[in-house]
Amino acid sequence: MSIAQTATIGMQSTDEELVALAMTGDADSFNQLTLRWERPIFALAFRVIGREEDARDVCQETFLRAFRGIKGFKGQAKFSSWLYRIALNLCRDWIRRERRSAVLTPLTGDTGTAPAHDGGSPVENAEDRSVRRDLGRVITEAMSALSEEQRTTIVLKEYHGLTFQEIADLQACPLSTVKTRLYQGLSVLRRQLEDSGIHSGALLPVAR
Amino acid sequence: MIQTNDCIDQAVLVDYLYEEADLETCQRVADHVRVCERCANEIRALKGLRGTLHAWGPSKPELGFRVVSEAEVSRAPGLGAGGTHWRPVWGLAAVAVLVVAVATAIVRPEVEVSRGGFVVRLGGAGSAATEPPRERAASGRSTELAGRVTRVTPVSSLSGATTAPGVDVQLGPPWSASSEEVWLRTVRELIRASEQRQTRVLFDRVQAVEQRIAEQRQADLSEMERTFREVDAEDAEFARRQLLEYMRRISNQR
Repeated sequence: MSIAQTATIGMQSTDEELVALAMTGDADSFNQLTLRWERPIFALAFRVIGREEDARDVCQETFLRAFRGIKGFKGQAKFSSWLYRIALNLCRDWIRRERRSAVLTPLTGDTGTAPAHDGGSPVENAEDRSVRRDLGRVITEAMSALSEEQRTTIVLKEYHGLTFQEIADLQACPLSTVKTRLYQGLSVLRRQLEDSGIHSGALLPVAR
Repeated sequence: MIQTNDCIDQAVLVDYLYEEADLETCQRVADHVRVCERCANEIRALKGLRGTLHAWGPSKPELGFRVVSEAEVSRAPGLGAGGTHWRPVWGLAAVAVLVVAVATAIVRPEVEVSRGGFVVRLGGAGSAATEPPRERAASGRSTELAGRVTRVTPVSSLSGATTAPGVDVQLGPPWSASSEEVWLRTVRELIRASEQRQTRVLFDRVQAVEQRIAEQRQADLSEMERTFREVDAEDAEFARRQLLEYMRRISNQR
């Protein structure tokens, strides 16, 4: 089968179909899943641990573990939820290993660019980029004031659109805890941003 | 139950905010917000915060991870088989370069072109292999190797060669089209990986320069703001001169 054919099939297939093929040892199908999910997983890792290079490592390790464990995937949860769980466990390991709770260090200069999986704005000019970058830096600092659980909850809900129930399953906690973490996290962020002179929604329109 | 304020429950508020509340709850919140300024402000602020949060994210990374099967790895020249691997392209390139460099340092190859093909002589300049390649091939002591190296013959077994420690590798007609294709594919991959790496480095540098410019601009603005604040009725003229001087100086810097 040619690469083009494989790619076409991959684009048309659902995650479940590709997982079924990958479980039989079909590496091409797994590569299609990787192509589909690597950016969201990278974005998740970046927002939780805050460093692009380490996020890249976490992303790679996530797919490696998924490939090795694909035969044990029972299909009780969505494939993406399973990936998120692996990635979050790796992020947690990373944070413990590095002994950091607030790990967000915007040293690369990339923080605050248009989010990768959002596609960004193709017509964004230099000034917009600059504003966005400054804002991103402030948000990064504000995020570092949150607990790991609050930050992860906000990231999963705000940037990955998981339902409260999916987040509760991932974090193995009650639904009410997820909502509490989210609300309290948002409140802390709001205060932090206001202390930095940014009033919510003053600079950018509401995305949803 | 924790309340966000005296009116709307925290759980209901986040359900409403993230559109997970049922229709009845949505209607109840909407009705309440119409008469409660406090809750209306709370919801407006949180919606605004959500919009602001979307400015935050990583750059668009070059990822391209893929599973490399055992068969692919064993086909790749210079690399041995070893189960299913997960290697970024730059990793393959680095390994290939390392292997070639080490091998070259160890065997010190010499290449000799003749009408019968070409001879790669390994083991240093002291090698006494002076026979035409065809004669050596006919010695009958060659050993078949997989892939691009077709025969390896100990030099000591050849007539007239008694002291050379190396081995000769003959690359002649047995060089097959398929192995050539593998080489070409590998070289293309190496070149592509190198280009991608360079592009990434260039992108990072451009980002760094942009950031430095933005920071400088911010510093300039802060300095100007500070100067303006210092202006009062008595020394306005002095401050204006100071500001003009500063602007002239930074203008010259650029």
